[in-house]
Amino acid sequence: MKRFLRDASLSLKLTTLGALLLVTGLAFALAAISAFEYRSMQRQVSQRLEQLASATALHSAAALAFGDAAAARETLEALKADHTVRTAALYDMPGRLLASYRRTPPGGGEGDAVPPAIRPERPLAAIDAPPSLDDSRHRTETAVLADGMRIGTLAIEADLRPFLEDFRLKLGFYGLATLLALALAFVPALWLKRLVTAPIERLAHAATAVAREADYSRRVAKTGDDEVGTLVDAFNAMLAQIQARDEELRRHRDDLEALVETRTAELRRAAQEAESANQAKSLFLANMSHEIRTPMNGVLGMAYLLQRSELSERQQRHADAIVTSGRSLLALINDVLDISKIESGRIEIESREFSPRDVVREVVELFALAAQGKSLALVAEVASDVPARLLGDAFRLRQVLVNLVGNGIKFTQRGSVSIRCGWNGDGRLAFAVTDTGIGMDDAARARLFAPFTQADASTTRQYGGTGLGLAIARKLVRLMGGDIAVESRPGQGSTFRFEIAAPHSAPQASAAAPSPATAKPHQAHFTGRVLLAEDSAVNREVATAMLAELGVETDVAHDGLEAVRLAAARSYDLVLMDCQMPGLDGFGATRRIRHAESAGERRLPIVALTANALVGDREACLAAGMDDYVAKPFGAEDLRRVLARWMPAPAGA
Amino acid sequence: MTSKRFPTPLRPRPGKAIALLAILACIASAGAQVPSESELKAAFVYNFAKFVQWPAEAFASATAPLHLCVAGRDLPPAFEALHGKSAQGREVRVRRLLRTDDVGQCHALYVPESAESLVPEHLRNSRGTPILTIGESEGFAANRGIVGFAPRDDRLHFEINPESAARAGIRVSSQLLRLSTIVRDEKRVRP
Repeated sequence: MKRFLRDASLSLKLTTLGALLLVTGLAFALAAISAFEYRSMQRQVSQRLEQLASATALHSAAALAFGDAAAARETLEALKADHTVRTAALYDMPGRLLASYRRTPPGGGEGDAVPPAIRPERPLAAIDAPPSLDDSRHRTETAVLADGMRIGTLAIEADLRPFLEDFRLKLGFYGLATLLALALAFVPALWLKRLVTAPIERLAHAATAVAREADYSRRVAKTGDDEVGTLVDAFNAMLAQIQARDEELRRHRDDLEALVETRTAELRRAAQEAESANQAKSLFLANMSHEIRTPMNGVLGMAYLLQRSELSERQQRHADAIVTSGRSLLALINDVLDISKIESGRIEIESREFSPRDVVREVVELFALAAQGKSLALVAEVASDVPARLLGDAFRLRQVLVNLVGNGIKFTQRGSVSIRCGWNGDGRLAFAVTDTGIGMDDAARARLFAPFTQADASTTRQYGGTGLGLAIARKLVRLMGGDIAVESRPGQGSTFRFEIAAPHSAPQASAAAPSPATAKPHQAHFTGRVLLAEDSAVNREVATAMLAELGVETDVAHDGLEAVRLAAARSYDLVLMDCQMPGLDGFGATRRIRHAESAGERRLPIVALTANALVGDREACLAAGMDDYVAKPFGAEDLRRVLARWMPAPAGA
Repeated sequence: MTSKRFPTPLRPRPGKAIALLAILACIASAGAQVPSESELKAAFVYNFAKFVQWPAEAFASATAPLHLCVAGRDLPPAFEALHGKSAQGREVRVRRLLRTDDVGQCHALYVPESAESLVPEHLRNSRGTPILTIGESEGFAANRGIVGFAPRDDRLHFEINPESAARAGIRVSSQLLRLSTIVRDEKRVRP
């Protein structure tokens, strides 16, 4: 019941409250009125009987005093007017009946009997308590006085029931009036209830609607200045606040968006600035590379030529020192360039068709002499299931292998260095480079691939190197979709294993440039005519001397235009083209030569000589129509390899 | 009157109360123990004194006794018994009235049949004075008396002349008048 009331609607609650109040109030009022009415009627009846009795007693005093029964009877007869009086009797002092009155019942007959005598000393029947109205025989006894003295007794017996009837009639009327009042009061009560509940219901509906539609611009109409009105005001104020807050939030969001946009623009600008700064750095590096390599080419070339001349033993040692130091310097420059390119993310891994076997062979060939010089066995082993042609970056793969093998030879005094190449399937090409060298402990291994570190500082002094080789190798391997690991123990040698992603190449892509397989790797002498386009006099002299050693005749062009002119004038077996030249540069000259020969059928091999070891150069060279390139500073060996690849086979070899 | 408010004047003097009750009992029980005519008349006279009202100047003071005079030589014992009773809140004193000119000291004058000859004189002497005159002789009330006994149907009855009472300045209770036969002055006045 309590829960029902708690969940009942406000309207029902108010109706219940009103009904309860009205019914309770009216019931109490009715009860009070009834009680009061009853008491008042009792008093009235009692008073009336007293008056009746005392008046009758007064009027019958003389008759009693003089014993006049007839007169007494006459007096008592007057009580006939009162229909409640059943009997009346007048007794003298000794208690003997003098006269009596008996009401004739409505149906006729004798009426009630009257006691013929009463005891004289008997005290008067007391009416201390108000008479009960349902008493059908209420007896009152009154003293009859004459001159202040009692001379007898008057006894009246009354039927009070008619009063009770009267009372009941009144009660019924009051009850009816109460019901009428209830009905009448309920009409305005219901109206008042509507007055209270309607605004609350409206408010509840509005609140529900606001919650459902999240429409905070809604407002509730106010109907009065009561508490509900205050609530409505507060609700509206709350909505206004929410709306204002929403507005503010949206403004903030807009501001924030604008701010983000600004910041993004700033960031973009900063990124662009950084980018251009980076480009500037790259350009700087390229320039530095060129600027250093060009004189280095001269230094090394000249030292090489010096070594070949008639020298005393001491002079020979000095020339050897110049060559060794120059190569170290060159290696250092190359490594630094590589690491900076890698770290600036400017290195690009190509995906071209290549032969893993060729790469391994080239590396072996490169180190054959060095291994032989240290009496080391250099072993290469390519598993039979390694595909002949794969897609990948042969140049970078070679660089990694050169690093590892060079390392192995450098740190091995006795024994062997081996290269093993295997196929892990699913496009994974695996290599292992093992040496029987000094090995390293765990601490050294942990630092191994960090840039600029070697086993320890003394290693650098003892073995040379920049300490960048392995760092570069690891970064390159990772760029090629693999990773590198090392197993080593001090004095037990080391094994470097790495894996790269190398998918199968499409069959039609195998139509490549002249296959290196046709090259003659260890050819030392060539015949033919080479056009050398080079603006630097020193480099011209070095290259010319080297080419002469290799047995080829050399024409020299001082710039691009001359190169184009000479190429058109004579027939050459190979053009060595410096890329950066005053006037028409190597790229432009190449384009002109290619343009001119497009009519003819023979394609003249053009090999770029570039001091720029950056990736972009190679692409630029190839795009311009060149066939290969040699990075400056190049040695006699580099030239020999290029000639071996591109020059026609000598007649006498 | 309820018993609560009922005054009890008899209680201080129980002896007298019992005597009074005895007289009244005699009056009421006419059939059982017939009282003598003299007793009955004495009781009536005593009751008359209760149902009339004298003017205030008739008494010297509020507590002055009420004098009941009985004309003639004889004082019947029933009347003598009234001596010392109380009426109108006063003590009743009964005495014989031998001389007619002494009537001025009486408040009530009873003229028995034995003193019938004195009636005119008494009435003449009491004229204009507040004396309740009660007589036994026939036509007493009509001859300017106030109350006169007149036996009727074997019952003791009385006549009252309101004019005489008015002349005497005495007010007679309406109840008493109701019990009586009202008579008026006769034109013929006895010399």
